[in-house]
Amino acid sequence: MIYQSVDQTELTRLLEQLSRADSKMQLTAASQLGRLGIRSRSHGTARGSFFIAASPRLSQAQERILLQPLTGDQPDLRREIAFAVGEWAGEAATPALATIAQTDADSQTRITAAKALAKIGGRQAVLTLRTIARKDEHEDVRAAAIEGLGLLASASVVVDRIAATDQEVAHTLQLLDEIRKIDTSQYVRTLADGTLTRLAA
Amino acid sequence: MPNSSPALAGQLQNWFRTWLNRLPGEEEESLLYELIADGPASLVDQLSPNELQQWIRAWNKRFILSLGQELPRERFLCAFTAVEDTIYRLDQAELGHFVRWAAAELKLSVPEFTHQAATRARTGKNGQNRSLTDESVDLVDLLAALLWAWQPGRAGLRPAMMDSALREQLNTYITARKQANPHSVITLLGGAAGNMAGVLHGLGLRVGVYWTYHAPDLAALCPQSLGRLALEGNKTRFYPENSGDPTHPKRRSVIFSYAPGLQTEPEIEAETGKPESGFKTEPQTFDRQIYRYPFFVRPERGWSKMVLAAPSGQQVPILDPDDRLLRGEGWPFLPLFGEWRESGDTFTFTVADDAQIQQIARRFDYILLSGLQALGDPLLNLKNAAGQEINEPARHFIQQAMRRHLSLLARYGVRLHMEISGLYNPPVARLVRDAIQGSVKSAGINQEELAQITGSGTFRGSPFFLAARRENETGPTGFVRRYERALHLAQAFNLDQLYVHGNDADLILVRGLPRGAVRQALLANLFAKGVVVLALLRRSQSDWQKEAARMGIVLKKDGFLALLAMADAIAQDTFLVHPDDRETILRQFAFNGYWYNRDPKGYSVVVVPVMWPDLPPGLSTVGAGDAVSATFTALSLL
Repeated sequence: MIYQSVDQTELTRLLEQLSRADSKMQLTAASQLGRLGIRSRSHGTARGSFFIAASPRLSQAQERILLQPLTGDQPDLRREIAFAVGEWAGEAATPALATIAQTDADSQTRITAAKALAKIGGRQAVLTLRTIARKDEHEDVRAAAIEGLGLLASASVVVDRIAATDQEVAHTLQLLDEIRKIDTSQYVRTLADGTLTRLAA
Repeated sequence: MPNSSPALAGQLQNWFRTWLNRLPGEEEESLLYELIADGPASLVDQLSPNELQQWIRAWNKRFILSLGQELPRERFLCAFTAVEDTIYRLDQAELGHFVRWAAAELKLSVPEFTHQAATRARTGKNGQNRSLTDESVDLVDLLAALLWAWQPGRAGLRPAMMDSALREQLNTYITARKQANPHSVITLLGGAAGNMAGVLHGLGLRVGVYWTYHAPDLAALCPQSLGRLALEGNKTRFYPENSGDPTHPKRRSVIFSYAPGLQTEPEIEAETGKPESGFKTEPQTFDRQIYRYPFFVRPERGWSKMVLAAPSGQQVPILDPDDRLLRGEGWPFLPLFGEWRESGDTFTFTVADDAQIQQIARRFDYILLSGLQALGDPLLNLKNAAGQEINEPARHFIQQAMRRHLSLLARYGVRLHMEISGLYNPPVARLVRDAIQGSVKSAGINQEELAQITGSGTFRGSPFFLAARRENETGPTGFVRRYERALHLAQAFNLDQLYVHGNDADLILVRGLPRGAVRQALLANLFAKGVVVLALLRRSQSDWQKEAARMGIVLKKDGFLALLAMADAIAQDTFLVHPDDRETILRQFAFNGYWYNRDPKGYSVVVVPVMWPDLPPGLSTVGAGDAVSATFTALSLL
């Protein structure tokens, strides 16, 4: 069992709080949703993998409420929401997260969105993370994407029993190999190298 | 001047990099989960989940980047303690060997032998009805000390083996075990200075050593390119470490290292058919039991009198009436720079004069001191039948000479760092404090010894003691208590830096430094703590690289919670922080790893979560504290 049962009354209350106008209350609700998401799933279990996106833990209506503040004008709230989306949403949230991960002006928000994509997984998330790993101007965002790709590839090998020679996985490994050689940041090169070593092991 | 060791230079650092390259992204996810799902909400919920994620990432990045730091080219001298450490690795089979052998030596059955040992462990008394922690008088005491330490909440002791027959008996056994099972016994350069020099040399730093006696057996354990400083006439010279002198005495420790789960019951059952035992206990953690030689030994010594000589010509005897303590074979340990000679029936130690100290100061930038607690050595605290101290003048002479040496070195610009260890009672602590005050501004100590000096009943009423609180001293809030103890000790010793190496997080107190130096201390600590694990592996196992490749750094919940608890405590401190700034202070401390005290007389606080990997079974951690402290001091250049 990946997930434990969630107090639906509490979940509903938090989502309602999220739709109110008071930004401080929205921020609190977003943080609490993130915590609740983690506290109600098992340790060490990946939500999604390279090929299979995580199942949503919310109804479509609830997911819409959750995604709403993602495009708001408060970076703090966008970050907390992005985190919560990674814990609760399924593949339907990927386009919105991908946009934030690639275009948000705030690098911390892009990092959180990239990490959320890595939790949800699936092909579109992988493609977005590949793009970010190559192109984002901030080394921490590229690093987050690399770690995310590593997590998803690892989950695929373990959960989906996909061999590392699979073409999709092989492409990602090739990309990591390229990044570890040419990225301008020593930190990013180190992470790419470490992720490759880890996957090889 | 010592050279760095080309063959070893950077070897550990290179390996450390490889090792961290394997740092898995899963570690961050796993730690985030553990903190939010299992951490105390009162602490963890002060940061949002996203902030926690960013926080962990920031530390992880800092850790990785700390590996790229340049190693210093300053010159380090490690003084004064070096011993030969013989480590006997106990697994269940070796414990069985030992128990059966010892029982047979005493002509006892295994149940009778273990029963006697259990009785002594229960009472804490040795075979002469004195404390087990002070002395092992026979083979029963050796097992009793183990069983004592294996009880919950206890740790390994350091009893002395005064009786040469017992030492010989144990040596014979250990030698036989080494032949039968080579993996079970390793011999290493030990002692605080030996441990320090070993790890710094392995890092490729320019390090030399100084100790009074250098027997061939000890020399054989030293890396060959390590330089040993010797004072001869009015000169200081360097010798390669393989040049031991057979006229020198030597000192050994026999160390039983053990792993969780060992039991004596299977041996009893093997003999009697039933697992009878009135004292069921087993170690809960990896630890060790050190059986010390009480002094340096060379039985065929030609002297019977000991004299301390000052450069001025003043002489003070060290008395040992009827060879009561040294028993015709022991040699005094003197934590001083100087030169000794045997002449007729007299052993004379002449302390270094100012010119020699100046020569030392010119050769070194840093001196890492250990063994100063020898001021509390039984020889220097001998009493006559009337209970009067007979070596008080000698002790005073040594303390004054120590004070003069340290004061001169400090005045010549040498940075002095001391590892605080073995201060078992307030008088010894006072002697050491008075000897170093004003000269030694930097010290290291492990968390257990810090708790001992500032919290045990022995120290109650002394200036080192800090009254206990009701709060539990374990867990995140316990770490705050550790900080309070460290602050108290740093003030009691008037230190500018105190480094407390711990199992969950390291704590560094510094005062009078700019922020940049505080931050450098943090980066040095991250590096030091990890690289020492490799140093321990390297000295213990010939295939250490293979073993190292299997290990990985682990981000541990306890360390991060300790940091968060400390940040919270500082943020809540009314005197230090304006209430409006509390949230900012909490975040700054947690993310930066330090809180900067703007009062130049106050201490800034650095907390670094420990990221040690899980050590492979059987790895001896003897001397790890010394090694970590030395590496931190060398890399931080505080």
